[in-house]
Amino acid sequence: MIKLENVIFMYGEKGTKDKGVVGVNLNIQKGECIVLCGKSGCGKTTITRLINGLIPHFYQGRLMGSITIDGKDISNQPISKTAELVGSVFQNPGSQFFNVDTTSELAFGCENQGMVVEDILERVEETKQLFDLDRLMNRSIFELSGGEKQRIACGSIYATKPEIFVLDEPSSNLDSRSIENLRKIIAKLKQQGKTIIVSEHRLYYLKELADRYIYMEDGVIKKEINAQELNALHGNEIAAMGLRTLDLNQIEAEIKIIQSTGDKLEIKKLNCKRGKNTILDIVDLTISHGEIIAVVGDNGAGKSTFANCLCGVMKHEGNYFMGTEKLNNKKRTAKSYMVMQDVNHQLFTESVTEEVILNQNREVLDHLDELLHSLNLLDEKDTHPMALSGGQKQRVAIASAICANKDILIYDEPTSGLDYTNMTKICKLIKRMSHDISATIIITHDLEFILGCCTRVLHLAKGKVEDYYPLDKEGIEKVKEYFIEGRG
Amino acid sequence: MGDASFGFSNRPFIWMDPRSKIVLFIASSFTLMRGISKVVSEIIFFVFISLLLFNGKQINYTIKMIVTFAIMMYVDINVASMFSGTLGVLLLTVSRVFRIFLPIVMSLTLIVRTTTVSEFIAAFEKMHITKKIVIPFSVMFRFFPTIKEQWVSIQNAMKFRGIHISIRTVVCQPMLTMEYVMVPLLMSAVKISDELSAASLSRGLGGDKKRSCITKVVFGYLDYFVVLISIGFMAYSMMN
Amino acid sequence: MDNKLKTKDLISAGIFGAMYIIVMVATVTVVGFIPITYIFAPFFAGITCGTVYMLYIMKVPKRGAILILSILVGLVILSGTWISGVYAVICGIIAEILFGMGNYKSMKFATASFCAFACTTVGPFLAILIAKDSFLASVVQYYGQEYADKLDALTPSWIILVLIALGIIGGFIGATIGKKILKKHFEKAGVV
Repeated sequence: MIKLENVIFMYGEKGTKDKGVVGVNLNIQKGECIVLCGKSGCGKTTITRLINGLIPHFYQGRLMGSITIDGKDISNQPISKTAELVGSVFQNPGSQFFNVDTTSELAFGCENQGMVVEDILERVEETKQLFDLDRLMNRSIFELSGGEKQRIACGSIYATKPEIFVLDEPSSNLDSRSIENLRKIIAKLKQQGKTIIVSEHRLYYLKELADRYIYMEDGVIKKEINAQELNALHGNEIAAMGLRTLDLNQIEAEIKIIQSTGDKLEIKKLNCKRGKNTILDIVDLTISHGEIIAVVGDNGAGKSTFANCLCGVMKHEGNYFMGTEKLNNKKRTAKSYMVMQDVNHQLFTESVTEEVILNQNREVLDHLDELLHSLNLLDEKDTHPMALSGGQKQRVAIASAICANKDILIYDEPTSGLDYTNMTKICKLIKRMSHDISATIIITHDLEFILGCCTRVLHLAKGKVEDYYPLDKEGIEKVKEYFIEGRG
Repeated sequence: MGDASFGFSNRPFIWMDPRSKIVLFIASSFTLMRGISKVVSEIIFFVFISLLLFNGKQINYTIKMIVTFAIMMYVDINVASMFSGTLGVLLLTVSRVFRIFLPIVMSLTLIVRTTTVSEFIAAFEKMHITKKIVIPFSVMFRFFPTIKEQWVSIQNAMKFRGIHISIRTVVCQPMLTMEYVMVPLLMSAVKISDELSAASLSRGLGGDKKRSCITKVVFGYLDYFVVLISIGFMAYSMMN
Repeated sequence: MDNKLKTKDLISAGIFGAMYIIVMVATVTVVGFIPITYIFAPFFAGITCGTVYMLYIMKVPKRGAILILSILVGLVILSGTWISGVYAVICGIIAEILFGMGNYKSMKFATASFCAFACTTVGPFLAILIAKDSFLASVVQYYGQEYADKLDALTPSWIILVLIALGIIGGFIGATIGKKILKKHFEKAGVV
């Protein structure tokens, strides 16, 4: 049904920028579920754009070869025509909504096709039933969580009834429960005989759905693997391909015990209110020196609030001590640094060097090359931070934290949208740095990542500490249970 | 400006056509230009808009406005005359001039807080306004709360770097401060603009077909009533 | 290059319109906090909005883009009276023509264009002046002669020229800064 023949695409007006695809031949049958996988920048997103017509209608570049759906040439028909055949869900749930209220958003695609109002309402109703969206109707998208937004996005695509669904890293910003929801949605689509193309890093949730995996490298399709073949591969082989695990149960973890000698960070009677409601209430929490703590919990459990309170940027009550020193909000802000989920918000200057030494003594310049080298950024020294890849931007942010001698490092979903290689890189980096600082706090939904580098788990639920345990043998089982149970 | 309820609405008790809200807005700004000459008519107009806001379930906001209005009225009538000279003029300015602006601000609130983006689009299309205005306008509405979110996050990021904004930094290093604020804000604006465009295009926005709209925009009794009252007030202020 | 506005350009217009308005309103609010400096609002708004404007017209260098922005800005400035809205669009048309004269490319004409566009913020003042007579008449009736005289003295008609001049100077500074930031950041990062 979908046919890509000898497709070459290069981004940029003259087709000179890299990161396109070369010589792609791909045949996708009706009803198939295809997973595009490979490292960041391998060209999998480009394939999704070729299918939904964003190339060449939105992304400019040089295109050769032919892309047809049911014999119709996608690159020669207007994109609004393709939209009737192909529905797309994107990575960032925040920026794919045109409307502010959810009901209008569900109807949006149908409205664009000029369908009769009664039919649209019927379809919206049907979508609501199928995807269980009752609770989300008539809400402002600004009050929804990432997972809820992604469900609405899928729903609004479904309402237009396209035959083909293209999903570009749909799980990047989702927690484990939402990923499970996403899995159910894709399963329903598959049941209905829709053709599904997913470009994705996280593979475990697609394990039972995928028919075929397309493994890409440097813009070329390296291998086509059918599901049985890939499932039969050993975890190490999958990792060697730079892919994320297919089975959460099989993740191997080493036990990392912290023998700490430094000052402990103590938090006492933390209480944070929004309006009249207490959204976070922590009576007593002690963090040993050098610990790497994973903060887990469902949406709304208070994870971000905890992070914001800890680094002193949110108004709240609470006492903090480092050894005998009491730390007020201001002191903590000076001591801490948060690597944000949207790292674009924390890059301010015109080159990597400038960024790292911003607001620092010029003395740090002596060690700068060494630092940049250790973070694999030396070649990008003079590049504008915004021109870097996601993983590189993150490392620039980390470099500036190191330079500023920060003592508490907080990461907000550092692995969202990262491939296996980049994930292991950041694991190593966090571990290496943790020896020199008081505490590393990581908000994350990524089990593979937690088992790769964390030493303790802080489980929050409904604004309270549900559990706080070291990742010893028992702890590993516990955290696995939490994540895998989240699927049921 | 960046209120999260922009372009979103709780179901009002009686639905209002966006067009009649616009007429009401024009009437309120028109009567300001002309000056409503009697306190009684001013109060009637104010009460009228307040009732419409209640209808749109903007309860807390409207109560605040009514209290403000009442205090200004009281100061105007009973307090200001007790002072002469500059203080008297100042009190009068605050209580009178700002008071006339209240209905305008409120009728604008009525428009932005009780109309969904899709109602706007439908109303605009009925008024035969080109999509070259309709699309930017609805995107703009949707984007205000997003800017607020981004701004909070950027401000936090600045604090970690010790480059937070204060009166001191604005006065001493205005250029640098502006750069630190503008660059991340605009960078993310560009990024969101691209992502939103891609998403909208792939969902068929901007095709040749005439769009339909699930929101029906039809004049009801309330709308005729509102338009009638608005015209009445405009005519009344013309006569004076 | 295709000079017609496409859907993605319209979406950019909306996003940059929102940015422009937020920056403008924020500046006017801060500057207007003290009533005396309020009169410098067009000047400062020109400086702060310059970067947003320059980035916008470099992203969407097409006929009509500036006009749309001026309509969006006009709709917000309208919250005073309709006259300021119309005035904003007139500024937009002049800005549009100026940028058009530079073939939607020339940076010099872009600067000139923003000098004209920055005057949109003078709108509310202009409205007060145009409506001043009828406004004053009603003020006399309602507030008394003494107050009307004071108001009259506070707003001499020639002040509008000063305001426009301030707007143009602010626009020039803003555009110059905008060009610099564009070159330093957005061009280097490959955004434009």
